[in-house]
Amino acid sequence: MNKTPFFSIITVVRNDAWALQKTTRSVFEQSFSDFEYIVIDGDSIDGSNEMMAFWHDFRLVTKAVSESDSGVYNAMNKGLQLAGGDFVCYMNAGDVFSDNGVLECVYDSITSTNTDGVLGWGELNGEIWASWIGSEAFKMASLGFCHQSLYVRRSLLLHNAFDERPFKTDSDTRQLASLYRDGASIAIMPSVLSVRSRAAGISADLERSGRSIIITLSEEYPTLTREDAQHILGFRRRCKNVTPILQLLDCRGSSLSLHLAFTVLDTLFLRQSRKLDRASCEILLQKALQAIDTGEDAPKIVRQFLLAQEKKRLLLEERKERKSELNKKIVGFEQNEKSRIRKLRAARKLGKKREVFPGIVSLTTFPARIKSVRFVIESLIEQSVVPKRVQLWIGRDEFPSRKWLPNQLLALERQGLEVCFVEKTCHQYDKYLHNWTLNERLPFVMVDDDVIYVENSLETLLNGHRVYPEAVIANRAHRMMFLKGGGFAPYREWEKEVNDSEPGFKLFPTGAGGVLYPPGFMANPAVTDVHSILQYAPYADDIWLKFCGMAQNIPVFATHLSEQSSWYQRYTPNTTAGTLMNSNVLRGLNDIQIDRCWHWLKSKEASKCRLDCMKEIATVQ
Amino acid sequence: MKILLSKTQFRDNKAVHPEFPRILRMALEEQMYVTVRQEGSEVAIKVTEKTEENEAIRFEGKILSSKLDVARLSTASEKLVLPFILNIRSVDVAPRAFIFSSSRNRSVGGVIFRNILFALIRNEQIVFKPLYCWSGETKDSAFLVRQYLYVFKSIFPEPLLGNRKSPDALALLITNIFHPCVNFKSELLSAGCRRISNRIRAARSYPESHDQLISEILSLRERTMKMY
Repeated sequence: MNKTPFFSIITVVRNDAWALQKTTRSVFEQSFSDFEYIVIDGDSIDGSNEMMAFWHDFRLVTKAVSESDSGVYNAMNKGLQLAGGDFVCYMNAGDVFSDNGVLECVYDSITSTNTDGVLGWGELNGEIWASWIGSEAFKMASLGFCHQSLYVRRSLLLHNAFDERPFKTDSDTRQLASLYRDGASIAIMPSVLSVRSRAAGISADLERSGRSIIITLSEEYPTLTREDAQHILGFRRRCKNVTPILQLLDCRGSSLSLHLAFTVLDTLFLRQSRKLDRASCEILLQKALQAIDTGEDAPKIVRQFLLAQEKKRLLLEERKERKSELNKKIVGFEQNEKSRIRKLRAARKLGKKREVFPGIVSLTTFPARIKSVRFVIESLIEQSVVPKRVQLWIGRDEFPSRKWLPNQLLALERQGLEVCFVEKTCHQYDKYLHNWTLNERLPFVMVDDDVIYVENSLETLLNGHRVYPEAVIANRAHRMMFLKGGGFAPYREWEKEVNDSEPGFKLFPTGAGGVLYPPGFMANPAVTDVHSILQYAPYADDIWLKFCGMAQNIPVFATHLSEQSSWYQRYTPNTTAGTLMNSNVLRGLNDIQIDRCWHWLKSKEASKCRLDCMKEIATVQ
Repeated sequence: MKILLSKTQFRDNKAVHPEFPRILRMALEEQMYVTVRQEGSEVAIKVTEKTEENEAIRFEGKILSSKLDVARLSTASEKLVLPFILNIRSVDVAPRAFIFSSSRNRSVGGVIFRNILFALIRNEQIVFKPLYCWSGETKDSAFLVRQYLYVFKSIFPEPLLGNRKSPDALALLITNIFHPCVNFKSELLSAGCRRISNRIRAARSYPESHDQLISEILSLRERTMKMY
């Protein structure tokens, strides 16, 4: 008999393949393995199915469904019906675990205390959602609740399914309230367990979520008027309507005033309460504490509240200090860069006018690196061969508008930088998926967002391109190695940073040095086929592009810069933040993708192309 | 006498700095403290004059709960757990706390923190000097605590900490002190966490008057709002 897994992790997705890409990686990276992973897709057409297939083949996704549903809560209930684990957690598309040890930590907590579940904290846009009380009051307000940080016994959830009515956006908080009302012992763990997606979820639709909350309040508190329900909502969201809230708190002894008191305490420690003056806070606190002070548990509740808020403050302080530390590093780095660029410019004055690079230079970035990406772009602008166009691609789901971007970065637009927005990020694939048509006639250079490029990087690529106009040119390439019995050796064992006198198929270009793709390279439909990308190499554009090159019989030439040297090791200060290195290299995700791409290459579709490269590779296998 | 070690050298148990045994010997002979201090990315080891007080260990740094009165810690289990909620900038170890051992390969950090741990087990007197502003590198502020954790884990193996990386293990310990969420198998660790946790909670006594309580909450709120 098969043992049931300890956890069922459920992800619900609909036409959000790249968000699913992020979430599945986070699940893959967990150190704890006794879980099943269920993905419920709402009949997506954007490649989510291929993403599921990628992980299903790897046996990370154990159960998957793709069919239309009546909404997110319908899909979440469907996931619950499929779940077989003892404890369930919903980690929807775009959400991630806060670190790799979360499941292990929750497992330890549940098994050592024998509770019905654990409710941890969550994070969204720098705000910490800090739950501090296990109470039915969750039906009034979220009280810091993040469903991504909730782990509950499956048997309890089956009796408290999500409310699937189409307008609902708060069925999760209401479910938690029911669990507490029924006496579930769900311990609060004051530690951030998940980071919520920055993209707008259903609750970000303020009108819809407002309607949903008002209906919940009316249903749960029959004595509450609609107007009062709106006052509560207004207070929670914008700290407005203090007077009616004070009046409601006066109805002492009722569950309404007690729950409202918890809501007031919680709201006073949220960012939106900053504008509340001290006098208003004081009177709100007085009334809230009076409302709480009717039972024996009052001192315990207040201590619990204070401890949680103190812990939250410490976490915020730690983050602030980290930010300031990074800023200091960036200031130091900036000084070094300025001095380097000054010297470069001084040296150039004596020389001839700079040649213009006749192509596109493209890169993408993400929140963890946004402060330092300007150094990379400056190093590109200061090249010995001037790039005519440098395009930086950014997802609006990560940076909604230009206002979110640092001024120093925007200032580079005056020197030729083009900041381009795309609605939803495709992560590293943003580098070429939206502007590939520019490659029809022009060479296309892709660079990373954390490397300071030496001043002759573009020149070296261009020289290589002039000698070998049909090859992919790389300033950093590895030599692919093969096993005796056939197949690729693990990526970690490949010969790193090599260069040969001629182009070859066994060279593998990597982005860190900059890679030039010859005109027309991306015209091959496979290169930009998102469905194939998600199915074969969703986490490594360099692997996908390498195999697309092989399918087109295009070899790679490694320039003289690709040798055992440390020039490309000049990384920006926050280079390790959010890196794929851990998954791709250390945990073997690169090897999975290489293997899948190799099978794709050998498949019928790809073999329509001339495959001289296969012969070369076959000779070493 | 003072030596500056990189963090790698501090942890290195193959090549201990040649001056380190001399520092230990001098501290023993002259009855001085051995001071370990984090200085930027390096760790300084030196001998420091003894004071009139008789503490075995003097910690200097930040404490994660300002409510905890370190001077009132009375049991060895509490003292053993205390370093986990500190960010240690420097620590002075009294000479009598030293077990001078050159027979086994131990890093400088290993020798120092074993001695600290044994002093804490003996329930010796400790002092904590809070630093409200520490301009050191925040990222590394837990470096010395991590060295203590290595030694702690080697002497008191705890299954719930065993497989975890140090930052994760520290986070679990800290979380558990603020709000018990796991039961450690090690009774000593479990008792230490529980006692410190109770002390922090007791310090958060429910004030007689609402005014006192409100003022405390408002003060905490103001400090929280500054973080946004």
